[in-house]
Amino acid sequence: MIRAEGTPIRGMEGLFRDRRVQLFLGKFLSGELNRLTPIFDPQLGYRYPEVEAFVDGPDAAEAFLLDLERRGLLVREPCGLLVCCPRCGSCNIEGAPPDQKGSPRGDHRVNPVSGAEGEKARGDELASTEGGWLCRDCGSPIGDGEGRFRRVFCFQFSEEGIGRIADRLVVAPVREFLGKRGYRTVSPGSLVGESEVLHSFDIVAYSDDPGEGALAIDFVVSDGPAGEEKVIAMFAKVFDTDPLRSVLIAFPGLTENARRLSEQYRIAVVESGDVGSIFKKLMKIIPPPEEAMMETLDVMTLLSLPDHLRRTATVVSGLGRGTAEEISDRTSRARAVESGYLNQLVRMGYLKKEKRGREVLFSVSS
Amino acid sequence: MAKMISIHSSRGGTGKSLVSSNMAVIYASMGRTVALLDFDFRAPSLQTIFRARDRVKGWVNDYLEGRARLRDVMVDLTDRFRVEGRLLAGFANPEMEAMREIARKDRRWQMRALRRVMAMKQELEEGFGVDVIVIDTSPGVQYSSVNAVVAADVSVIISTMDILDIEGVQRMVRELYVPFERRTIILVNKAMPHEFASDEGKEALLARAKGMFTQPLIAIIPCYCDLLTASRVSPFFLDRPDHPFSRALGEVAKRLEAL
Repeated sequence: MIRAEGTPIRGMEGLFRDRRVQLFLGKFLSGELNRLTPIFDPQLGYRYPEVEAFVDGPDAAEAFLLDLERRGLLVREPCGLLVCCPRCGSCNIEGAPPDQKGSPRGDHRVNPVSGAEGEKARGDELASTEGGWLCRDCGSPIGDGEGRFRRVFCFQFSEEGIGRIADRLVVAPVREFLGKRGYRTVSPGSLVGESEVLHSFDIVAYSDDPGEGALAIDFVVSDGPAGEEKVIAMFAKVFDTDPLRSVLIAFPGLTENARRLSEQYRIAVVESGDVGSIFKKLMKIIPPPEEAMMETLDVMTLLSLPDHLRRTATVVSGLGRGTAEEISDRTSRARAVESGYLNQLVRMGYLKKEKRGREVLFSVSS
Repeated sequence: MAKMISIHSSRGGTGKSLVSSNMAVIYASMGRTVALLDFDFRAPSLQTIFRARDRVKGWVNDYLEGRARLRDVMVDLTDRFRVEGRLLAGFANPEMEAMREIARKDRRWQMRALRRVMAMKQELEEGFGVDVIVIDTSPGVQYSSVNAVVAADVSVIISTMDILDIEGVQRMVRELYVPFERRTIILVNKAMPHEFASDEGKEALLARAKGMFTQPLIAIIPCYCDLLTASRVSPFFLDRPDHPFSRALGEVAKRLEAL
């Protein structure tokens, strides 16, 4: 996984290598987030919790957003005014609905202020505002020049800006791929380990069945091949959480040592220099959810089956898929008998059954 | 229809690679189009015997991985040997990293590998016009070997008369070959030469061997010291076609083809 760092992003190239950028813009591009709106915070005034998930705290979150705005990737618009009472010291965001104010740790969305003037970032306090305010806590009037006023901002992504770099953003297309494959994704997502420690992955993908395991996916984007420390970091989480499958997507790739280590740790690796070519590789690694949960019909598993099923399963395993008639031709048993055995293997989770036109096909997972 | 023959054993050192390489050359000498495949990914040796590294564009490992096409893997060795037919060979990658890579493959990969072995058989027959496929496997119950055994039309298990080999073969037959209903033949190799000194000795040896194995016995070949001293970097049959070992293998090849 790309480490979350509180440092500013260096250069445009640095954008793509920054985990925070990949994850955050991935939320916009995947449609999970259309508009980033701050919430009220009794201590800080306001904050952006969606961003705090992958930077170091509220200040870093705002700095991060402003950095992206400066680079033309986000568009900022005022959507509220933080007003602090000079008498009781409490702060509230004006422009928010009346029932969404000031409760401790409240998750209150701020409504845009219509006709707001001027656009200043956090830290740029306004000297005065048009008209006055009544403190919502002590009821005192707050006149011009008396209180502290601060504009708060909402952010949207800039289609033009994102369009310029879309081919270098990996999280959204991978989430889209997983969505088409039948998975529900959370990014960044968390899994609780055996140790009861919560581990964060860049993407966690779930199938519809809550009983099934999750896929854990991390990204590493670097100038050259990434070293084994990335694999080791992921393994520590995988070892504890034991996901159904763990995948490390590396741009442009891993060093030889890192690759060997990932094989040893059974972390599937997708290495690619461009986003477009990763999906073919992902197709091999990440089967549709129903296939991911199918039992593997390797030769050792075949050996463990009862004799009557082994013959059937061995034939399907060799063919990949076939109808009951095709299987019975090869097993030299009656089609009806073979059909019974095939359905038994389906119930045991070894085969998948699907209808194609008038044919019923039995297949092993890909 | 191409016949796929896997050459297997329970332990190492029984002569699998010697038998499989020479069997392939024998079939090619008989005018057949032959594909010899090295499935001993843990200790590849056919590439050493045939000295063909300069011609290899892809390894069998790469084919199973889906990284190479069969036409890039199969090396045509016909021009190197005086054979009437055609001799093709697919080699296992002898690099240590390649051995490690394949040893770490999971069950799902092995399941796909079985399908690729099946597909390989079909492609060799239809695309290359192959009559006989000979597979040299790893000893024991390795995934690659069992995949080859399951895909093969007939399996030859090579055993010596050493009790360790014999019991290993008995177990393998009972727990692997019988469950998969494979046609299985036993070839005893490296039998003690003194037991061939008299007809009585041969009879006794045959009776003993038949009593040891439940599967049909195709031949008992004595241990030849000159085989040990012969060059291992070319197929023995080509250098010594009239040697008793070559003649015995020739007979085995004919019997297997007739099955």
